[in-house]
Amino acid sequence: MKICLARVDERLIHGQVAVAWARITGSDQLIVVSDEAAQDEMQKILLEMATPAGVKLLILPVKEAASKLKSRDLPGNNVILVFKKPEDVLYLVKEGVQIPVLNIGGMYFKPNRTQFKKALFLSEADIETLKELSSLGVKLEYQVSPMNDKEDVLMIIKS
Amino acid sequence: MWFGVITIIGIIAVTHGRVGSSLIEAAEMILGPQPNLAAIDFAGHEGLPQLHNKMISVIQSMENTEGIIVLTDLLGGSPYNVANLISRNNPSVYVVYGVNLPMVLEVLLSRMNSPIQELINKAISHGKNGIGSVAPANLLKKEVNKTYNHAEV
Repeated sequence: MKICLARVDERLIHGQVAVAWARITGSDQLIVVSDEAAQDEMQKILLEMATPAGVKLLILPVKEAASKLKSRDLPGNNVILVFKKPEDVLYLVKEGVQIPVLNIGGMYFKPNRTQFKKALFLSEADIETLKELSSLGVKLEYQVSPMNDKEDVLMIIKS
Repeated sequence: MWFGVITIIGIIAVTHGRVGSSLIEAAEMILGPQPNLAAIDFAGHEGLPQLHNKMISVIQSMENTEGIIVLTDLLGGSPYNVANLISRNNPSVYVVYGVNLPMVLEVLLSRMNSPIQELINKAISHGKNGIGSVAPANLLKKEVNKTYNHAEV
């Protein structure tokens, strides 16, 4: 099992992930890590439908994802991990899960957020979470689609 | 030393109204910016010679292509007819009709590693397979981690 992409995307599985990222990485397994998605039947159904043909989907609550990722007890060869929020990634990393690079692809408008990029809206709390992830050795890259340029998130929030 | 040039098959969407440019916009929303990709919107009041000249000029503006695929909306419509005419005089220009977003996405994802005729076949099959509907009964499947076979519905 190899993690070919770890991405924060509030829309979880949608065009960019289902079509662009899945194809470019040659992924055979999508794993959504989110308590919210894991508890919501309707979301689960929608996620299943958005998953492209030939790719499997697993939806896991955060704690279960942490323990299964640490023990590598997960299906798939080429895995894309998708998170709804950076706090969940931070939890995993603090639990000892190895995530060398985190792709930030879609954090959208919320009332307490400032816009930094087209798909990068961050609150003070978000910024703190990202800084903490970076201090734990996670490289943070803003890249919406594979053909967009990669940008260093730390540089974006410092400016 | 090899001073080769990478060729990229050019894609031009030509449609009635703004369907073409909107499809391109949608495709780039999903895939990011793309080279050798253009749209020509055919306004109702435009004459065919104008459309013809526009198409020729866009085709000529694309650099380093080994061929161009013109994606049109309707078989027998003016965009299709003009593209067809150009294609008859120009063997590296190919025409497809019935463009939709799944088709555009496929063509952009596969054009770096498919010869042009194969790319056209993929475009058509993805365009067709991208059309469907999910029966309500199938919405309640509770299996986890299964491959969702879209053909089942």
